[in-house]
Amino acid sequence: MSGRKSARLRRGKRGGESSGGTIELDITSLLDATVIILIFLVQTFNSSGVISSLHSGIVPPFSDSKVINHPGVNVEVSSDQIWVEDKLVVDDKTKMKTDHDGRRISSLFDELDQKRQTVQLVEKSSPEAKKFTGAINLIVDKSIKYSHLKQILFTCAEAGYKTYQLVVRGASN
Amino acid sequence: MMEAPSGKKAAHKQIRLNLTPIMDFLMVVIFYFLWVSNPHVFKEIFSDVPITSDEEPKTTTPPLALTLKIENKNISLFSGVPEKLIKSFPKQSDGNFPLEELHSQVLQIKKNNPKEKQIILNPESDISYEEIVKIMDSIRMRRNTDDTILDDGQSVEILFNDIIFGNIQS
Repeated sequence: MSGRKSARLRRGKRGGESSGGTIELDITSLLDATVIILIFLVQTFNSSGVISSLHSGIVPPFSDSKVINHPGVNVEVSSDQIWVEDKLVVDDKTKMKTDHDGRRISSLFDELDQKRQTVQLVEKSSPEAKKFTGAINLIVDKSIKYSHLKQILFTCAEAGYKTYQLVVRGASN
Repeated sequence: MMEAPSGKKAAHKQIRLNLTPIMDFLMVVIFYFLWVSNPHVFKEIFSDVPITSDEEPKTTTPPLALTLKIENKNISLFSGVPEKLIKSFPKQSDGNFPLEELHSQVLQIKKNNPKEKQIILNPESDISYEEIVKIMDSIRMRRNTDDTILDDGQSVEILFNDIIFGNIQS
């Protein structure tokens, strides 16, 4: 191959020019759009990643708190039902069993107690295991009355969860 | 008679797509999504379980023991042991609590007690969770429009964010 021909080929490859039927794309505007999409994704990305979705019927109240949510056992409370980490523990509030003079919700206590014991068991078995923090994320519907919230707070405390993290809706910035 | 273009000539013809209009449209769509997307993200308010202890307090200064009793038609702010009423905030004619007034009162207390962060909430049974969160918002943080509070030369941003529900065992 002559030197002139090989130089022409190199130039063609480097510059993206056609050597017969090749399509040259102007990707400047595409890159502009990609940058905007990236900024959008970065802005809407929840770095804590603790709570991504809620069960239907739960609308947390709005708050001006700026503290992002931290890891903990997620307890979701709607007007009728209660979930612990997506497991339904109370299906109908009017039929739920309570003890301690109606202050403690039995099924919620059993589930939380079991979770605590599991974490503490793992904690003992391995020094690198995640420690039990006693933190609980309470994702409560805004219409709930304090009488019901009080039952939940008391049950969590009885099960060994001493730090309540009340999950609310806040502004992104 | 015209000749059909030869394959050789067609192969050499460059096709250049004009992507500018579609990219412009895409940018408009992205801004639309940004506008309509729900900007709310999940945040947190911390609260600790109330702990009762028989131990003697370590400090000799009497505790502030700021307590907020939330009733259906009235909020009462107490302080000290035994508790002494500081001020009552009855519901306004529009059905809302005067939270700005409560905030100003709490701000004044914070100015006199810049190291205190704890407040005890005692809501009544039929108060909604949303109402409680609104009240908590009015007492937790200093706002940009508030007077500056200094503690050892440092600006204090937190009013009373160590919130304890005092009546969960009752």
